[in-house]
This record gives sequence, C-alpha cells and structure tokens, in this order.
Amino acid sequence: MSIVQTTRFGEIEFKDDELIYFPKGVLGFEDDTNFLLIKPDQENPLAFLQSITTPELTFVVAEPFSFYQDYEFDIAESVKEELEIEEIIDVAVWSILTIPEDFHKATINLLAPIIINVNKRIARQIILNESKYSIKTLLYPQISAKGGE
Amino acid sequence: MLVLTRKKGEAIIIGQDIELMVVAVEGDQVKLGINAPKNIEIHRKEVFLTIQEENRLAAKQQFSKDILEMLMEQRNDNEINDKDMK
Repeated sequence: MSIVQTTRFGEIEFKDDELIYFPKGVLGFEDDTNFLLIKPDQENPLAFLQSITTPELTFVVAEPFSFYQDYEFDIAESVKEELEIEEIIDVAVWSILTIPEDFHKATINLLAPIIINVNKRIARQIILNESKYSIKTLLYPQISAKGGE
Repeated sequence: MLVLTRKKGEAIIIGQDIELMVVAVEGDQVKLGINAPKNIEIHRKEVFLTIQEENRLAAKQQFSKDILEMLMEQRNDNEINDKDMK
C-alpha cells in the first residue's frame, strides 16, 4: 500500500495497481501524470480524480452518460492505439465538472472527456471534433428551466 | 515565431511529416488544409486554450467532501420530479 497526501482528504492509502497513468497529464496540468480515481459509492456515477503529485489537484468527475443518455462520440484510432484499447469494455469515460458556489449550477465538460483504459490503467483527456458538445453544459438543465434563470 | 507568406495553393512542410496548405482565401478567412500523421492531433487553438482554462477553473473550485452526495441527491430529486411530470 502507498500513501498520498491530499489537500481535501488528508492522507489516502492506495494500492499501486489502482493508479491511473496519464502520459500527457490533463490539459492545463501536463505534469500531473498519475491520478487516483476515488469513487466512494460504487453505484453512483460520480468520483474524484486526485493527482498523486499535486495534493491540491482534485477534479470532481462524472460519468456523462448518466446525465446525458444521448451523449455519443467516436474515439479516434490514434487514441485507441495510444491507450491500448482493444475492446469497448476496456473503456471508462469520465467528464470533469466545474462546480461554482451554488452547486446546482455545476457544469460538465462534454467536449473534452477523459478516456480511461481500465485494464491497462492508462488514460488521457481528448477533445472531440463534434462541436455540438459544450465545455460548460449544465449538469442540471431542469433546474434552470424551472427557475427561469 | 517563423512568419511566412503563402499564396493560395502554396504549402509549408513542418518537420518531415506535417504539411500545411493554403487551400483558399475568402475575404478575411483563410482555409487551411493539413496533412499529418494520425497520431498528431490538430485543433483550433482557441478550443485547446478554452479547455485548459476550464480544467484550471474546475481544479480551483472549493467544494466540500460531501459534494458527491449532494450532486447525487440533486440528480435523484430531478429524476423523481421528471417521473412525476410524465
């Protein structure tokens, strides 16, 4: 077991095979190449993506298909090769959430999802060519619709 | 930065494998064609920068440890409301 220091959660223990390697880091954080996916509730499509090297770097991530059932995209061949993806079952998709003070206004980045090869534990953030998706999609569009904001 | 002037139809080679060609010039828009190996990614710069910025914003936000539960609760409430409305 290894230990990582985190700003939000204090010390966390983890097994080395739980680490996820991001060869290119994440956009804006290219030097952070090792992350832990912390999923407190296995049933829920929400988790934290914690950097091993930077204690204060924690992303809140969500499985986009749980919030937007029609979400779809292709993974480029070059990305499949890079992540050594052989079958669709190897793939997990997580999207970064931006959470303002009022968490009801949280947004999800559907244009740049994080693709993880769960077997090989390699991942990267990709930028979709489908411009129909936005970097800031409301996680709860229903709320805005009702509140008329 | 290297600055070159090209006319429509002329091209530039970057390294040995990347070719950039001016396909058309229409008013103040320049249409560029790019030939590059499949493993080289090409994006409009502003898209790339905006995503970097959004990631940095997401990383800076303060949130409590309960945020996942709070987000999930709201989602479940929404689902119930949606079902009620149908």
